[in-house]
Amino acid sequence: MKYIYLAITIFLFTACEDVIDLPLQEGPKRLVIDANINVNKSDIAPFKQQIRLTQTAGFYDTTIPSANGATVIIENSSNDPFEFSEIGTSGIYEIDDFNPTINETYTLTVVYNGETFTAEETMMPVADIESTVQTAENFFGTEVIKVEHFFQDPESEEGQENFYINQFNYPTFLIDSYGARSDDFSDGQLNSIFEQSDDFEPGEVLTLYFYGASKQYFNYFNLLQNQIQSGGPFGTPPAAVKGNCINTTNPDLKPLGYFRLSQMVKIPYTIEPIE
Amino acid sequence: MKKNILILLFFILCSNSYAQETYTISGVISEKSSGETLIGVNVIFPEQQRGTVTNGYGFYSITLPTGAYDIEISYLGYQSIRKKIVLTKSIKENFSLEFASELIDEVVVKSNSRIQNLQKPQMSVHKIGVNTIKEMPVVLGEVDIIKSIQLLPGVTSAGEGASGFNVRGGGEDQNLVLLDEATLFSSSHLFGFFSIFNADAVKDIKLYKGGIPAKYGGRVSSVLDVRQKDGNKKEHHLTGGIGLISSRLMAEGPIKEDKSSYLIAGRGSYAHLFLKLNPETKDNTIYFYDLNTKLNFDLDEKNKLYFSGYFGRDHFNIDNLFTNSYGNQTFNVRWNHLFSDKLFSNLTLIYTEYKYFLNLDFIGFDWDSGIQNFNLKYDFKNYISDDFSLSYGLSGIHYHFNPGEITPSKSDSPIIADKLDQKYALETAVYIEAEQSLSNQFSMNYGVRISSFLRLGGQPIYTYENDEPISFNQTLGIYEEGVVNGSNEYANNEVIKPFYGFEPRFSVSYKPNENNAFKASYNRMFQYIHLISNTVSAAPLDVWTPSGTYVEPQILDQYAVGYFKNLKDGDYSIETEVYYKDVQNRLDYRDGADLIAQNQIETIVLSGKSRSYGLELSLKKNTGNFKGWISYTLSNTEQKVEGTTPGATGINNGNWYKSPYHKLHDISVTTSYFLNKKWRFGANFVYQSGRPVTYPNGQYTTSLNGDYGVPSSTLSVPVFSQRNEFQLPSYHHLDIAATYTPKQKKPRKWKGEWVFSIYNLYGRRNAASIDFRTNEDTGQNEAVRTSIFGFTPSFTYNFKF
Repeated sequence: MKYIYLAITIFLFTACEDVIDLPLQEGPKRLVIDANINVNKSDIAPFKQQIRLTQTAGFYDTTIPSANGATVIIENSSNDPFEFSEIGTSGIYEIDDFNPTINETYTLTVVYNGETFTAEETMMPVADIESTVQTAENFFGTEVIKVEHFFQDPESEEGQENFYINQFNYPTFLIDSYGARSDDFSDGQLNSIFEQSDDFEPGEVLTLYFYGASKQYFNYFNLLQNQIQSGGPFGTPPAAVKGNCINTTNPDLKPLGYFRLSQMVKIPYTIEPIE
Repeated sequence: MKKNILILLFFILCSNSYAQETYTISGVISEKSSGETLIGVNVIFPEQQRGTVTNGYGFYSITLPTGAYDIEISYLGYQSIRKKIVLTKSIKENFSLEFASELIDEVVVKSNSRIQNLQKPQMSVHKIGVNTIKEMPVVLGEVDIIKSIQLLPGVTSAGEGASGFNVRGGGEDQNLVLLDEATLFSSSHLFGFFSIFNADAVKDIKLYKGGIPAKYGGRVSSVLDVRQKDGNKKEHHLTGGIGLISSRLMAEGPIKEDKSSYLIAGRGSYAHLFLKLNPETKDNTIYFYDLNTKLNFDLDEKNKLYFSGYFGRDHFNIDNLFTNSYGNQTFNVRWNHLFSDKLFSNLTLIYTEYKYFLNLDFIGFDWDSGIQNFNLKYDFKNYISDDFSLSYGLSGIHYHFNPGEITPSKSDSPIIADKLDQKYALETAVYIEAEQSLSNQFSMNYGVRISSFLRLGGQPIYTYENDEPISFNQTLGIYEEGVVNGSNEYANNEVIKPFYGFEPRFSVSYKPNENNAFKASYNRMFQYIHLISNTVSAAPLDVWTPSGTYVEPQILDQYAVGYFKNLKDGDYSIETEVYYKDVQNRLDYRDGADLIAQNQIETIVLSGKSRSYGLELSLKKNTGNFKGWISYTLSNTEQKVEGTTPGATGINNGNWYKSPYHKLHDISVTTSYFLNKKWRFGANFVYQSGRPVTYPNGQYTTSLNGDYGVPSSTLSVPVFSQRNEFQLPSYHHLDIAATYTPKQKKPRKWKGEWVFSIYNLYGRRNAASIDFRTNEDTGQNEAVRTSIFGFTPSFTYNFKF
C-alpha cells in the first residue's frame, strides 16, 4: 500500500502535507502495563527484569505520568510468586532474578489504587540468528546499505505457527524500527530479517533485538503498528487496540499494554566499510 | 411466482389487440444537424395533458383515440416544435430538433417539459446535460461527469482523493454504473482524481437515487446510466480538446448517410511528461487513457444494431521498481427491434472486464486480479395506451472473480506462484413494471424484479471451528480469523449456495394543479456482490467478492416522499425530498484486517446493517442567460455491527456509528452566465461536513527491549477512540470558469473555444486525511494533514470541425 501512496504523491505535485494544530479530547486515564519480560539467550543468571507502569497521557503530552505504589507479582504455573518492587517513584518495578521457562504459562497480578489487574501469557522461544550478510544496493539513486540476518525457522506441527518480532536500534534512528512475521508461508525454511538505510556508517552499531512471540501478541503488535503508521487517504483506518491485561475489580476499565514473555536474541552488528 | 408473471406477460401481449378507435403515433426524435437520437425528449399533447418521453434510443410511442391533436416536442436547450396531427390511422412521425444556443438571444425557450416532469411518478432522478457539465469549472480543466453529479442533492464524495461517488450515504460499490448498458466496476482514473468518462463521447447522463425502476438491479444505492453518442449520421466531424493534464480527440460521421454512423474517441494524459523534465523523476511514468468506440446501423425501420466498446487503463511505473496498471474494458452489441409501433425491444450482449496488475520488481512479484462478466439481457417496453405502458425483461450475468494470482516476475525471485481461489456466480433476474396514469392528477409506477444469485463451484469452501470464520478473542477484545477445520470441494457449476430476491418497486405522483406535485416511492433491492475495502478511499486493488456460504446479499429498503413545484411557468423549480433507507448485511472489515492476498474474505469481515435518512432541497433556475441550481442536503448515515457470539462486542460495542460516507450538511451552488456570444461564465461552490474519522484520545508508551531510558526504544502508541467518532474539518471550495469563443470572421467549419478555470479559488487546504505520528526529528507527537488540490488554475482549448 505504501508504494501506491508513493505513486500518488509523486503524481500530485499539488498534494501536500502540513502539521496542523488539531485539538483532541483526552479520554479517561487508564493504567498501562508495559510488561516485556525478555530472556537473552546468551545471558547467564541472575536475570534482572523490569516492568513499567504508567498512565495514559494526552496525545500531544511530552511526559507520561508513571503509576506509583503498585504491587506487582508474577506467578508461575505452580503458583510460586516473583515480586517486583518499585525503584523510587519511577514507575519501574524490578526483580533481581526471574528466569521464566519456555512454554510455561505465567500470571501477572498488579494491584494499583485498590483495583486488581491480571494477565496470563506463555513464555515463547525464538530461533537463533545463523548468519548476517551486509550488502549495498543502489535504491532510487542513493547508496543503501542492507544488513540481513538469517534464521532457521523450526518445522512446526500441523496447525502450529511460530511468530517473531524484531526491533532494530541504531544511533541515528530517532525511533527504532520494528517488524512482525509469522512462518505461515515459510514453515521450516531459512528466513531473513533485514534493515536498510542510507544513514549507515561503517563502525557504527546496528543492534537487532529478536523476540519469540505468541500468536496473540503477534496480532496485538500488528494492530499496534497499524495505529502508529496510520497514513494518508489510502491508509487503513486506525482502531482501538487492547492488550491481554484485564481489570478484575472493574472489567469495563480495561488497562492498556501487554504482558509478554519472550526468549530473545540480541545482535549488535558493526557496519563494515563498503568495498 | 415466475410462472404467474409469465402468464401475466402473455395476457398483456395478447390484450394489445383490443384497441378500437385508437391509433398510435410513434417515431424517433433526433438532433437536426447530427442525426444523433435524443433521450428523454418530451412528447406532449398540451390540451389533453398527456405525454410521453423518448427512451434510451430516442424512440417514443403513444396511443390516443381518433382525433386531431396539437403535439409539442420539447427538450431543454432545443427549440420546441409544435405541430397539428390528425390520428385516423397509426402513424410514424420522426422529429428533429435544433439546438437553441445559437438562437438564445433571439428566441426565448419555453417548454412544457417541467409539467411533464411533475406528471411522471419517477422521483429521485437527475438528468444533467453534457453541455451543462462542460461549462462547469473543474480541476485542471478535465471535464468530469462524476465530479459534476456530486453537485446534485444527496450526492457526495469521500474527498478529493476518493474514487467514485456516494449517493444518500451509500458506498461507492453500491452504485450501478452503466455505460451503454454495460456495468463498469470502477468509475475513476488515477485513484479517483478523474472520472473515466470522456465527456465528448457522452450523450446523456441519468442518476437514479431512489424509486429505482424494476429494470435495474444488482446494486442497492443508485443507478448512473450513461449513454454514449451514436456518432453523427450526416457529416464527418472531429472534436477535441487540449488541456494541461490530458487531450482528447473524437472522430464521428456517417458510414452511410442517415443509416449508419461511427464514433471513436480517445483521451490520454501526458502529465507524466513533466516528470521527464526532472532528472530525479525521469524514470517514472504515470498516465491514463481511454478509448470509446461505437458503430450503429439502422438496418430498416424496425431494426437497429449498435456495437460499443470502452477500453480504459491507468498505468504507473516508478523507477521500474513498481509497475501498476488497471482499468475497465467492455464490449457490447445491442439490437433494437420494433415488434410493432407499440412494442419496443432491445437485446443486449455485454462483456465487461476489470483488471488489476501490479509488479514489484525489487521483490520479484507479479500480482493479477480482476473480475469478468458476460451479461445477456432482453428488455421490452410496451406502450399499450396513452395512460398505460409496461416494461418487462430478463437478464443473466455470469461472473468470474479472480481475487488474485501471484507469480514470480523473474527467475531468481523467491516468490512461490500462488493463485487464490477463483470464484464464479450466475445472477439472473426477470422484471415487469407498469406505468399508469389514473387521472390527470394521479399516476403511478409499480413493478417487481425477481432476482436470483447462484454461487457456483470450482473452488473449495472452508469450514471453521464452531462455524465461526471470524472469532472473538475475549482477552484482547478483538476479532481474529477463525480456525479452519476442513473444506468442502465443489465441482464446476455445482451450486454452492443459491439466493433469491423479491424486489418490489413502487412510485406514485399526485399533481393537484399545473405547478405542484407530490410524489412517493418505495423500492427494495438486492446486491449480491460486495467490494471489500479497508482503506479510507477505495483503492484499485480492492477486491469484489460474491455472496456465498458466509456472506449474505445486501438488501435495501428505501422510502422517499417529495414535493415538486414549478414557478413562473417552469422558469424556476423547487424539489424537496425526504428519504429513509436501510441496508441489511452491509459488510464492514474487522479492526486490523489484512485484505491483501486474502483467500478467505469471510475471516476479515463482519456483517452488520446501515441506515440513512435525510432531507434534500434544490432550487433551480432553468431558463435565461443566468442559470443554475442550489442544493442542500441534511442527512445522517450510520452503521451497526453487533457481536453475534458470546462476549463479542461487534464494532463500537454494537452501537450505531457513523458510516464513512456520512455527511451531515452538503451544500452546492452551480451557476452559469451567458454574457454574449463570446463569453460565458460558470461558478461552483461546494460545502460538505468533514467525513467521519477516528482520532486518538490519548497515548501510552511501550519499550519492547525494556530500555526505558532510551528515547528511541520507547514507542509512543496513540490510543484511538471508537470507530468514526470524530469528523474531519469541513470541506469546501469555490471554483470559477470562463469560456471564450473567438468571433468568426466568416462562417468556417472550424470552431474553437478556450476554457479558463480556477479550482479552489481561495486556496482552502481541504484535509483528505489527518494522520497522527511521532515526528522523527523532534520526537513530538503531531497531527499531519494531507491536502490535495490547492489553488489550481488551468486552461483547455476545445475545437470542432
